[in-house]
Amino acid sequence: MKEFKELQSVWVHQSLHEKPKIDTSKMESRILSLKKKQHIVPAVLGVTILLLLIFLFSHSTKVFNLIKNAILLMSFSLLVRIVVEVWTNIKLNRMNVRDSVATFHQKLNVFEKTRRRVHFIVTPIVLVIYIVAFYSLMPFFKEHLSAFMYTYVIWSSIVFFTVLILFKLISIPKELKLLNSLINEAKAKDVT
Amino acid sequence: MDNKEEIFNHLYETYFDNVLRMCNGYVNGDFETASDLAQDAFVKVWQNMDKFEGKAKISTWIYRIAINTCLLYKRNSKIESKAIAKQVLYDSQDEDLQEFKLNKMFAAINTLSLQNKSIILLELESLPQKEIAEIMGMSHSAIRVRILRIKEKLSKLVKK
Repeated sequence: MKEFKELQSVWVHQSLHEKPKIDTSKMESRILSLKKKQHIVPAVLGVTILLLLIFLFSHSTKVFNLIKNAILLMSFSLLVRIVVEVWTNIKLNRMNVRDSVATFHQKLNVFEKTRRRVHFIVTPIVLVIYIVAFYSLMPFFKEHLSAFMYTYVIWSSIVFFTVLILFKLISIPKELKLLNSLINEAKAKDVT
Repeated sequence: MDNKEEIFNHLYETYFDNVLRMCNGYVNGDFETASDLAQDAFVKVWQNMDKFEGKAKISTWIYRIAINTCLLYKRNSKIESKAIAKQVLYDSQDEDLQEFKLNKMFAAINTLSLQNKSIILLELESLPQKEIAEIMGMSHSAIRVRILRIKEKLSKLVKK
């Protein structure tokens, strides 16, 4: 295969820039910062739950059951979202990069399919529960906030939820495309 | 400098270029991303060094980590959106001809399935087929047949 030998020669002679310096003393801190990044979303959601519960318990004698239920529902939906996020991170961290490529690829496909199924089902449900619970708090806001703040809460929440829903709607076709490509990859492996 | 650090630096010096070229093949010639991926792979090498049991060659182990790192990157679906390596018009000068061929190679490699891509990138690095089989977790005979087919396909695509 003379042609391939030529290609091989072109390949190994491709110009690479100077090798980046790697500082082993900073390696552990780099690994740590990568792990920290994974905790950001659960931490933010966790703080939100905490604030909601603090509000609930500090006003428990003053608020109606409807409002209590709304806050509990909001906390519950956020908690579900945290569980999904933590589960994803744990599963991903357990992926063993030392596995053979075929095994790793197979595990990655299984993980992706499960994760996407969970996201397609759980995320929309969580979002709907959160929005319904939030809007059921409106009578409370109307009673306790100034007219300006009440209008602000209504409009800012409409904008926020619309952007969030649009973002989800846009990301679904992309996710489906990736999932299909992963499935096709798995099929190609069997055919080739 | 302790022993782990010394060994790591040696591995980095020896294999970085090979890993970088391989990552470059995965990301269609997007050199910046390839460089990040290669460095990520070496962070994982450092992270897992204590778990190396010596059952396989160290190069086998490093290439596995590098390919799996690229597969994890593919999970984020960024490869498709990245620009294809710049096209260079044919010129009689050698350097441009090389670059022209290289870009055609990137485009051809990009048409392969992820597994075939991994196999041919290892073959382009002139790894023995037995080692490629070990990295991929496939039998030697299956790899031999697969390599032959991919080589033919790649040569045809680049020739076009």
